[in-house]
Amino acid sequence: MNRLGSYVRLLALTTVLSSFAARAVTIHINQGYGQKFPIAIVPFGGEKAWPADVRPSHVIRRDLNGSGWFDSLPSHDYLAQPHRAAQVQFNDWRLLKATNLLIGRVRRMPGGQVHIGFRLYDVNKGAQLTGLQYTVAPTQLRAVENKIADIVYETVTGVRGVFNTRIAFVTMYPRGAPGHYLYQLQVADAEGHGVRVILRSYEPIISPRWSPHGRRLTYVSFDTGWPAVYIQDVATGQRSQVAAFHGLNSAPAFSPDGTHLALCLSKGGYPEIYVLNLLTRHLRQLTFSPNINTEPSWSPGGGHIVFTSNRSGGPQIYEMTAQGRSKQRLTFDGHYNADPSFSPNGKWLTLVSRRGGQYHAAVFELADSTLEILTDTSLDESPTFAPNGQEVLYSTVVGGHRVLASVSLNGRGHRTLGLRGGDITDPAWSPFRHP
Amino acid sequence: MKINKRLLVAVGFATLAGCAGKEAVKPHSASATASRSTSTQAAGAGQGSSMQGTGMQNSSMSLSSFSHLVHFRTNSSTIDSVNGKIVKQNATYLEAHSNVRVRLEGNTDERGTAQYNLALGQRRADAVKHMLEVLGVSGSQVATVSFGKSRPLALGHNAQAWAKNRRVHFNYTYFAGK
Repeated sequence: MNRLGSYVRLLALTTVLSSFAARAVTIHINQGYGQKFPIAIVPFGGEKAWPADVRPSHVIRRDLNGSGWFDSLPSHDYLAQPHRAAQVQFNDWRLLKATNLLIGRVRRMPGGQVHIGFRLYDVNKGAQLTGLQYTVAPTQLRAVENKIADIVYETVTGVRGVFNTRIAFVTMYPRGAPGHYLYQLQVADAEGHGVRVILRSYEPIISPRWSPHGRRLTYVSFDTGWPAVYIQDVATGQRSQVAAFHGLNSAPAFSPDGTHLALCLSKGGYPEIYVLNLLTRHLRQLTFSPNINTEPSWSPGGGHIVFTSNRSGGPQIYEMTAQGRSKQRLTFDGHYNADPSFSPNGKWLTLVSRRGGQYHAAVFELADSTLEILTDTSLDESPTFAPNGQEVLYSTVVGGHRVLASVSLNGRGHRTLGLRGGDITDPAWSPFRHP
Repeated sequence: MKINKRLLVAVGFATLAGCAGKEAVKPHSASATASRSTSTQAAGAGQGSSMQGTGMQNSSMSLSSFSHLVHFRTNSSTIDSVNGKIVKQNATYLEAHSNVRVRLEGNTDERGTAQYNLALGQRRADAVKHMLEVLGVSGSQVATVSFGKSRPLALGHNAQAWAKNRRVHFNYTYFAGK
């Protein structure tokens, strides 16, 4: 467990998102553009009894800094280490120019439970904003810490936090002869901790996508030697094969209500998009062009599907209704735009766009058809929105290895999640678990 | 190998060979024993006689005497003339061994998206299968599959590695044990 943990780090990438930054205001919340909230996070009372990677102040600091919206002040500057309300002197924190202060305590209870409580203050007003306490099993400690980070994030920014959501991804380790690998479908929390292997195979595993409530994954596996689409319950591991036609069985995506699966099949001779009714098993073909049509993604309301097609030459993004009508091309900027997926509010697509031979994660705004490059890396793939729409997670090559990286759409946070000894591909960010 | 067979192959090839790409990758050189099969020269087309020469026992042609890898240009499923020769050699073998089944495994380089590459790999495998069929190979001997970008042969993130990875592999062992 926590194999990823110690490798998560903030990268001081010099990514200058200047072109995006100008528009970031329109995406964003009521606080001024580019602002970061200086927050003091006092080491929790009693946390030294825990390993560093589950100490509350460590986990919460990393969560908040990674979001791009907070700048947690270094604890060696703190004039005091309060753990209780009565110990807080607001002037200590005004001197540090902290806008917010987080304090708390953690301790083991008789019987093995863990008690953890926190208070969040507005330093300038000298007032408590919120405070809660929890009693949980030790295995739940990190989840509670992520929950506290969520509460701090939402209290300060007004946007729901994603620290308790999950990501799915595929790792590849070379094994044996060239061209042979061990593939593992894995799930971790949004920061890359608590990694769990969902599926291991010596045949490729591709493109996991979450079900609407994050309980199941659909993906392509070549377990049988041939591509097939599966749906697997993440908690129980139970899985079923839902498509294994002649040719391609690929690019599955749950409809927002979970009753249908859009996917790409080539059983008719060309890669075309179909929708499979998971209740009736009825299959309906939506595209009919003798080209490549793939990578379907549903709009949040379920009324539309965007997809990649090379019907005009190179791959571009198209949109159609969920019944396959009113097909129209969306992207005209550049010669390679592919793998679209909707933002949670339905106003944006994230996709891969090629510029000057470099493949970048990008965001396309549907209202005005503008396309903005998000990264300065060159081999990006599989961009996926955070469920609060504030970040895009993608796979790219850093230092000769494929890693997961994320960029916050305010342009101020850029993180890389690392894992030794393998390449990480195909990230998919879960929806909120309890909508 | 009989001459009329070569002619037929040449005709079929001429119809399929698309633009010869500037970025064409040199095929993996077959072993030194390849002289017999690679000597196939395209004689003048137009005399393509029927396939009377079915007695192609040709025991001298072994699987190791020709390349099992066909390469492609970026984002293309077109088989150029250099790689077309390799398809021809494989076609000749498959016709001579009608009990042999082969799996054509389409692959791409790592650039671009997983699913689009999966489709592109499938188009590459299908293009090779189509050429084999035009050359006279029975479709029942040939299956296709695409791994997209998920099974790179070369691990680097550079043009040389990408060129090696844009390939269709004639996998003769896949069905051998089945």
